[in-house]
Amino acid sequence: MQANARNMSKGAQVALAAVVGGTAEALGGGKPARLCRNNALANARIIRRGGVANGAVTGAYVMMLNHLAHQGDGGDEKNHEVHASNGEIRMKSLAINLRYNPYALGYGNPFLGAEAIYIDAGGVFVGAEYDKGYFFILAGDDYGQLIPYTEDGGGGSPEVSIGVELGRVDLSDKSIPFQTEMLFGERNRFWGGAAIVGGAVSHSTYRGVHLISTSVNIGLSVNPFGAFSAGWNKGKIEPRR
Amino acid sequence: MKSKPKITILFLAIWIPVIAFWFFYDIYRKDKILERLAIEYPLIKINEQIFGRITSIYNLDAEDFRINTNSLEITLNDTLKRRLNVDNEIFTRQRLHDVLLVGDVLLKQSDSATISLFRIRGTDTLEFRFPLLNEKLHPLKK
Repeated sequence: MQANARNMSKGAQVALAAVVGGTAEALGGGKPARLCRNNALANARIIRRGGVANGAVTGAYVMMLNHLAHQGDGGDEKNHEVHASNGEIRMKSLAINLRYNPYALGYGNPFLGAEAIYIDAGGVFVGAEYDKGYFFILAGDDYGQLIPYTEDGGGGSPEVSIGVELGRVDLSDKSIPFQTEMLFGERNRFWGGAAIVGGAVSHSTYRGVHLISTSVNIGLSVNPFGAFSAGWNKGKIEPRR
Repeated sequence: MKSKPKITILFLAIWIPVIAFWFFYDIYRKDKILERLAIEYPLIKINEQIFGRITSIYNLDAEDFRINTNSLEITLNDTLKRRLNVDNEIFTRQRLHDVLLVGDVLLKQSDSATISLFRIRGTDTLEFRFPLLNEKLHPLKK
């Protein structure tokens, strides 16, 4: 891996050094590695906090970043047809970090192990819902990509609200390889909230595997039954062109 | 807004069980549909040899499932029912949904993990080859 380092782009070399340094250091006891100080991929260095106990996680991280490095813009052109820009490499590194690094956000990582995360904004009008947002893919062939989507649905709720939602998508069976197309199509959604915060769970079925999306919401709501609210709707998520 | 605890509690006590029931009933309903389909349309096995014309394609997407563009239930020669789980086409990377049509001829050799679809257009014959996948969407093996 390191023997090929001179063929890689600067960004890929830094990422590689950060991971190799981080892994070696984790085994040796957890001292900051100098190579990472000016690393544009700031998230890559955080893996070292995991120490020896996170060996399996670190191993997966190294393997995926190694794969990523081979897709880099400075790779061997005869053998590698895929060439990613620095921006794409950063996004892919971020995706790997969010999926595999338990300390990706410093204090913990609510997206650990997720297939994708999403953020959207929209509103609910007595059960009818419309949102626009983005998926950030963490697994599968498209990891590191931002995919815009729209979500609409109809169902039952006493509230009128607007808000922002941040959530993660998981598969019920982790042995099934995630594909981006699993994110689109019909879904059932169930939500509740108190005052300006809330949570939601969405479910959908993709040929035997269940997709569960869980999210937190922040927004404004008007509801005749007091501060608490709950609702359900059935709808569809579609990629936005 | 002025707090109305009794109304709020009553609302939550009635409304949340209704929502929860509907939510979990929908999961159960879909599982049952898939179980029925798995029996009616078994997945192609590695040691099967199949040759026939596709006479119908079952449209699962019409029943509120997420679209899986590489999985389809088909009937061959109006008698043999099978489910295809496949990866993208070997040469063109097209998906099964974009390729498969009623009238195509399907061929699978025994012990082969690939299916071939043939389509006759005038004097030309198109061939599409798809690697088969198992239930867990991994490559089919012996």
